[in-house]
Amino acid sequence: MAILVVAMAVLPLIQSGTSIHKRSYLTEYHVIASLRARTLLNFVSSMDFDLVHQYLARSGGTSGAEIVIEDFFESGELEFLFAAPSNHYRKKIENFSHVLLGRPIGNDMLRIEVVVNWRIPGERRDTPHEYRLATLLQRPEFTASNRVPTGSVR
Amino acid sequence: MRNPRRGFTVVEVLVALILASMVLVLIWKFFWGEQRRFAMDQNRLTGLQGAMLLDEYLSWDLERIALFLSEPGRTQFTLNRPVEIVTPGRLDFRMFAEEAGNSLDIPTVAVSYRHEPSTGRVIRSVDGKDRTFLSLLAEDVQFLSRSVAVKPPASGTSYEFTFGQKVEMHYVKYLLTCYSGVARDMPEARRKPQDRVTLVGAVALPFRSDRAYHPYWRTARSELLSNL
Repeated sequence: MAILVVAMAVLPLIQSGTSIHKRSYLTEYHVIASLRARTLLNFVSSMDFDLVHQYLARSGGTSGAEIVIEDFFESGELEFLFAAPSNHYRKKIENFSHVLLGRPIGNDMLRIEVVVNWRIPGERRDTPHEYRLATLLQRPEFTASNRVPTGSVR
Repeated sequence: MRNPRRGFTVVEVLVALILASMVLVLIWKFFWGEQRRFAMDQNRLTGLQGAMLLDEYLSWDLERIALFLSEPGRTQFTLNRPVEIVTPGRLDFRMFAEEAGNSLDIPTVAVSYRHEPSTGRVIRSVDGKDRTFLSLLAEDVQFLSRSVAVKPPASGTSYEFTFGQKVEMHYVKYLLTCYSGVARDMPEARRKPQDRVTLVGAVALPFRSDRAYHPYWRTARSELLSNL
């Protein structure tokens, strides 16, 4: 009887602790996903507008469909971008994947969207978690490629 | 027949005491574990919040980085070294100032991000004025500056640039490690991997500049462009 009373008193505490713990992990994965999405959008929006526009236009993006933007760096730089020496972090990162989509809107605007998916180990869920982030880019007044006679930037 | 006035034997009392103490030890261990886990979760969330804030500020500042600076008396732009990694935990660069400037000397300010390992604090300094990210106590912060070639389109044709050179992108990557408050004071050997939060982010240096990012550049830029 005494054990039953103790168990009933402790049970809500266990549930509460487990729930907080689970939520903190959910938040951590969510933050990693949002950082990844922001990083990718930041990279595409920091690239030369014409370069991205040409890429999408040549890939048939003028038809209005979203075009998958593949790895835009040489030598698998995107892998390095999200890598860290910590094994614990590396294991988490293995659960993430992303797709980068783009579509030109006329000659002076682009719509870029990142979709990040992830799974949390041990979680019983049929569909992966998803984080979407989109931005509209307008043709800038001034870009490095079309006006400034600089040398290599390396 | 059982005597109703009979008390407990010493053995019965001892067994009861042992059982009670075992239950108490289990409860104590459980609560200690829960308290540790709660502190760990709380610190993880605080660390994540701090890291997000650092990312926001870094993105904001690097969007305004003064990549193209005019030199007094020259009409040609010079591309300065974009960022300086002074130590792995310190990043220096210059960004366009908020104040208006009408001369060819575009106003810029020195910006510095540095991690102080002794306190764990991350400090953003603009023109010598320090601001600390209060919610962030980082065990380690590392900045990396990279330059990477952008891949040509799959068709094999090169991008159409007015000057035919390889397109490269600069970016700053940061690695941030926080430990939970409980683990922070422990020796390395006793720390568990789950006590640690690692976050990795990167911010690209922009290829482009325009009024939206440098509102006071327009006057000076127009004069410079007319001389190009």
